[in-house]
Amino acid sequence: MVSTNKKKVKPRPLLFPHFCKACGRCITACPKDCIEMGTEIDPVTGCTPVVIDRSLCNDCGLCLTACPEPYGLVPAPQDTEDFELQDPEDLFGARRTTAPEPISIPDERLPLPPLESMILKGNHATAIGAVLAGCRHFFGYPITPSTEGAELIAKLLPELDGMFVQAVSEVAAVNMMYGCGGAGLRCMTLTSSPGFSLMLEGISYMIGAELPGVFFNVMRGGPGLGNIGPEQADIKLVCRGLGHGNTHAIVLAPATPQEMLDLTIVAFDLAFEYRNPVILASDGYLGQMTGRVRLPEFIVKPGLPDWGVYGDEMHRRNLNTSIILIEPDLEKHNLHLNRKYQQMSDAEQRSDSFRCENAEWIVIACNTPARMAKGAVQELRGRGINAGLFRPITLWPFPIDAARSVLRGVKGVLVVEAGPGQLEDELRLALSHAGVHDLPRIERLRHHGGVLPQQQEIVEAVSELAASVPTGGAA
Amino acid sequence: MFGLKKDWSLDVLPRYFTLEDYEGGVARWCPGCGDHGVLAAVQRICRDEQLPPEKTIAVSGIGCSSRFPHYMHTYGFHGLHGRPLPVACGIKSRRPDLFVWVATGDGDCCSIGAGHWIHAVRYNMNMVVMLFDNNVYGLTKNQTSPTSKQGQVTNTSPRGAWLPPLNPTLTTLGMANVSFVAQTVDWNPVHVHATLLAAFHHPGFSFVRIFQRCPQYTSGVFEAAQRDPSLIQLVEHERGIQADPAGTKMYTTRIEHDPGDIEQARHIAHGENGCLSIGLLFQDPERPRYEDMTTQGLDMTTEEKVRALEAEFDRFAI
Ligand SMILES: Cc1ncc(C[n+]2csc(CCOP(=O)(O)OP(=O)(O)O)c2C)c(N)n1
Ligand code: SF4
Ligand SMILES: [Mg+2]
Repeated sequence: MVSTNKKKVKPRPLLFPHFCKACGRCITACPKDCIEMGTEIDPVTGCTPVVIDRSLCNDCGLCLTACPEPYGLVPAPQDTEDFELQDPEDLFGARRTTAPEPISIPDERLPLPPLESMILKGNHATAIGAVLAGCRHFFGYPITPSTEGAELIAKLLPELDGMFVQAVSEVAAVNMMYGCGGAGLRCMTLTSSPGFSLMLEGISYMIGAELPGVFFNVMRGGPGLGNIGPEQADIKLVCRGLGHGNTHAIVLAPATPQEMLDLTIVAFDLAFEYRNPVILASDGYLGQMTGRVRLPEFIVKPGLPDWGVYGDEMHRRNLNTSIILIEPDLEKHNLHLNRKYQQMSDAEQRSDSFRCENAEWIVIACNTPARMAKGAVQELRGRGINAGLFRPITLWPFPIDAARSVLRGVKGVLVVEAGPGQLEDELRLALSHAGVHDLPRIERLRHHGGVLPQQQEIVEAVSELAASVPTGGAA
Repeated sequence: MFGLKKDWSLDVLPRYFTLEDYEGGVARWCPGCGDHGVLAAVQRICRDEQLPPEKTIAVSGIGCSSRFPHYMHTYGFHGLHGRPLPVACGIKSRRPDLFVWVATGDGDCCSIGAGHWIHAVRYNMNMVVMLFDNNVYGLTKNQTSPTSKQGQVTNTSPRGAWLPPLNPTLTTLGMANVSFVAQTVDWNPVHVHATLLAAFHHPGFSFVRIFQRCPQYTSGVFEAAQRDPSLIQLVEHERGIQADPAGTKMYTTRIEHDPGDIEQARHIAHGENGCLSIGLLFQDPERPRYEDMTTQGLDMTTEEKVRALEAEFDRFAI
């Protein structure tokens, strides 16, 4: 504003708090240190405008030049020489009271009357598990072979005070998960490999911002569009590749429709316990497989955590973000995440052993291949070969403690996968980190592209292994 | 700097192409699917225009309609769900000599691919884009698409679609640098052919929305218009689609529309009279094409490139 008055008038700064975005440039510009960052939130804008101590001000006008806002800091009109900045309290009424501290409302488990078991498709069992776990928010994008789960949810949730949104893509879906998990609410998505690839970016952000959410990846044949057959080639992705940065999430691998339901419920508990996404990794065959499923004796009534951005006064000051610009702060955050990962590794390993006692030959498999492996173990035992099945249920953290004790003294291991060896990689990595070096012989049986290993092949492979390893001592 | 040679043609003898030269695998769409007719029209145009198969590319995303490239005996790119337009733009940005046909579905283009669609229209690269609009996700078996009718019951909208549908034609007409927008119905081969031919000859991004029957999942949506031709409005003009009158004489509802008039085009696209409008809604061949920029330098000689490279390196010399 140029003064038309001939007399040189020094402009006095006048602040309009509604237009100050608290950028602080005036503070830097002021040679007299009479401006400082405010502490009060402007009720109109939600920003914290600066405050000017006029007693120190010599009207140099540098702050006026520094202010980038057209209406923020302006020269006071000359005819208001005696203009006094008004106390915001007089302008806007009483200062807002500080919001109450948010409190965590715990989940409740309400008893269900005993129900008959049901015959369910795996994908449907997942959907029912989610509903029983108290999930009322579902975001999905259709993709075979996962869609039936979402379709059932689309029918169920509107009847149950919940909602289903078909997002415009998996990228949209994962960001809706970010928003919903950020509110402290239970949300889930079901997808299959190509869709899961698209969600990785969002998962990294959720892990960074420490937000819960349950992701169900019905793994299908890849790479690329591949096909809709069952594959286990996303194990690397879910265990080691959840987007960019230092990321991990608990990965649960069901092997029956019953586990599709049970582990879905577990997944929600874990997601909230650790404030981290949880991944369920099943395969295309399991999603379509029908089986008898017992329902739990409870239904979860979700509570509300104190950290969520729930949109009420209590949660007013919460913020979800994964951006931490100061390097040492981001390092601290990563160390905090590492501690969480360690806790998960210590407390959440899950596995199942079948006839591993006195076993000399251990088959390791998860998801659908574990079913063939179980049949094979029974057949092998019938033939007098002491075989057992070790089935990781958490793929990350790998159940290394159980694996170590199962593998102690065995002569040989056969890792059976419908994929390129990513389960074996997890096994070897876990053994190596655990300092186990006297490994038994490890062999492998793999299929790709939607082809499943067959029971007979497993029987033959173990028999061959048994014939080739000299009897007498563990290698 | 190390641009490709502009002229990629090999010295081939003049050839005559027959329909068989463009016919790929046996189309595995459902019997009665509208996609069959569009495929036939494109093959006919390729034959009539004598497009060398090796200079022709069918690009698609994922969906029933996106199986298109498998059925063309040309180059093909069956890409990612939602991303055929970036692929097609990639091709055009360095190979303006190729004839690009894009097949995309209403889910592929208007849902997961919507972000790409907006910018492909703005790029205005010379290609034909066929939007197979069957109002549904066909390949994944009956889920709501952005063009599903309000109330349409699908597997993901068991109580009927909640939102009003997106109108792809109107949307395209609202995008920056739009240059060609037409509509046709798959069940009129004469009109499909004439429309795609006009699209092929338009120098720019030719967007053709094809109302496509899916007898499997949305048999109802175009049923009335199929039975009663008066529910189809023929958009006519001397600069419009020139379809053989034998194929359009049953359409009694007609409107004279200058394809240069974008306001009226939008009005027609709204479809307020309840009719499906078929014909050319908008055309402006003068709009800038992005490939005119991206192909600059393709004809540089090796010496010119070396000189340019040296000049660049000189800037870093100490
Ligand atoms: C990333 C990704 N998400 C989801 C899918 C599953 N998918 C395949 S086709 C399709 C929609 C097809 O609908 P549309 O584009 O309308 O084609 P139509 O089958 O109707 O011709 C979907 C969701 C996929 N292939 N890739
Ligand atoms: S499902 Fe519909 S769109 Fe897909 S091939 Fe069959 S009829 Fe055509
Ligand atoms: Mg469709």
